[in-house]
Amino acid sequence: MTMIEIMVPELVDAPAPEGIHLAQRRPLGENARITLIDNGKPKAKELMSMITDGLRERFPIGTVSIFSKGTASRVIDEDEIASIAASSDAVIAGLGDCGACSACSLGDAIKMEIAGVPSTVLISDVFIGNIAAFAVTMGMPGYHSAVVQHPVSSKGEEQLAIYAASVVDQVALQLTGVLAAESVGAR
Amino acid sequence: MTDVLTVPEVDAIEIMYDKGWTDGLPVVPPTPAKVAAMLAAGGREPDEILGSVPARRKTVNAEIVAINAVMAGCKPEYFPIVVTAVEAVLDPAFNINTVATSTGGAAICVMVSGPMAEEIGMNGLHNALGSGNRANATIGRAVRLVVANVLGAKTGKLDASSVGHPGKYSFCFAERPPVSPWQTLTVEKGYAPEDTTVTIMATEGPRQVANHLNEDPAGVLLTFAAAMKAANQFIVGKSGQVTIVVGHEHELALRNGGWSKLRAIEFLVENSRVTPAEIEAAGIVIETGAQHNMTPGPDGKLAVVASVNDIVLITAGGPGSGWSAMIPSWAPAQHSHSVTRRVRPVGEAMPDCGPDGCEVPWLTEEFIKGTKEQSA
Repeated sequence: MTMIEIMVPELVDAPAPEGIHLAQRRPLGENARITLIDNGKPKAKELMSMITDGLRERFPIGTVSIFSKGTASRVIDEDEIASIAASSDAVIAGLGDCGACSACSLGDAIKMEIAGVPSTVLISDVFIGNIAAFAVTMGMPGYHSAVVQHPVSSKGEEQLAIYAASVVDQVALQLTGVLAAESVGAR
Repeated sequence: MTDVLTVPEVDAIEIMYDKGWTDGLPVVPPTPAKVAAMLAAGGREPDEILGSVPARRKTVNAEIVAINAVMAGCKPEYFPIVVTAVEAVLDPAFNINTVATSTGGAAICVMVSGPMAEEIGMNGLHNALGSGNRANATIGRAVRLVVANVLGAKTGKLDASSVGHPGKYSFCFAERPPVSPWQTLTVEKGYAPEDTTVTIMATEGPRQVANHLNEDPAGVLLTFAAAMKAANQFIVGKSGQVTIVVGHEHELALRNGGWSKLRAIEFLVENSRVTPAEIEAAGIVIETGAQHNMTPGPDGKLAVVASVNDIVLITAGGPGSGWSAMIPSWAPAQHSHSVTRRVRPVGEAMPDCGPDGCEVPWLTEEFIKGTKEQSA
């Protein structure tokens, strides 16, 4: 049997940068500051705002800021990371309801984790596998996400409220490690 | 260092299927000798870095591109164009991380203008966008295999295409050199006539444009404009980019009518503008408060393309009955820009940029102005 050599056409991922790990979790304290990284997808801002309304019932949140990154197809840059990190105790990035935007919002959340801010990414359910693959590529395999039913962009306020309610527990746990401030006596 | 597998020759193609390295069609086994020949024809060292995609933690070198070019079926003499196309893909302005991931399922349309296209046997005449020419087919396929195998854009992994289209196998063609006073795309882009350039755009599938009975330039262009305005295209009303492939008869009509390429492009920018009502008549909901600004301009209309910088007008196709093509970008220009790169001839040294460095073309005042117009 004639044997031949063939060269592998794939590249392995570059080693993950050292120091990639989740930011430390703690219950949100008095006047906690939450930043929503809004990628501009239809209903993203509305849905994330409803989720933070749910968090307000559980934690003594002071301010909720919205950072509009202008386009869903890029990950925030170093200056934006520094600015958001300086003014945030927790971050929600979203909405990942398409391939590119879910990957980029995941990138936003991971960048904020690296900057020391507990974060999560809000996606719709059909992109679970997509961001799982990207999380591996970005050096944080298994990174969490808050998942709502797809689609989101065509839904009205009533359905968005249902979606928001469905993930408040997830988001609270992912950002703080607890479901509510009362559970650890922080209030 | 690139891994090498030793496999039975008779089983090599099936093994590469099993590894997930193909696009569904058989590939040529990339033996070290074939890969070395590819690199030599391109005058590239194996470890020469072509670019990177930070979001995917991937740095692309010439050797990995050569491996995929062999697999695609390229002849070694195609490699200078393949490697230039990949360099364009890795330009940050193209934003391949998004292009290759989007549900929109974009193809990478590769357009080659200049003498090298003819030298290597590319087709810009009959069936230019179709099948049958090895150089067209395998150069486009090589680019797609790089994106899949090297950048991970595969179904079920990092490519989230909802439907996709056949251009994702291969989408590459040559320019039919236009007749004077029209200039080639290479010259229009500011390069010398003896240069060869590669222009890429992330696109939906091509729409054929038929207008057989009208030799009036405005009449011909209105047919293109009608195709551009079809509201099923994602960019309509959201300022995208468009490739206009001008067929033989339509070039004649425009040129004989005394129209320059620029005049034709300006006409298309203006006449493709569309009212919100036209979009809504197709059942499309106008975005409000979201990333795409769909606020009508003073004329009450929205742009398909915001400026002349957003149309690539290229001549291609053979004589026939008045066929052309319109190829819309898969997304608004804020997500990805068409990129043009000059093919560096084998043996040519890198330019000496001097103490002040090189000008970056896409940061010129004209480009920035165009970008602002797009976002207005």
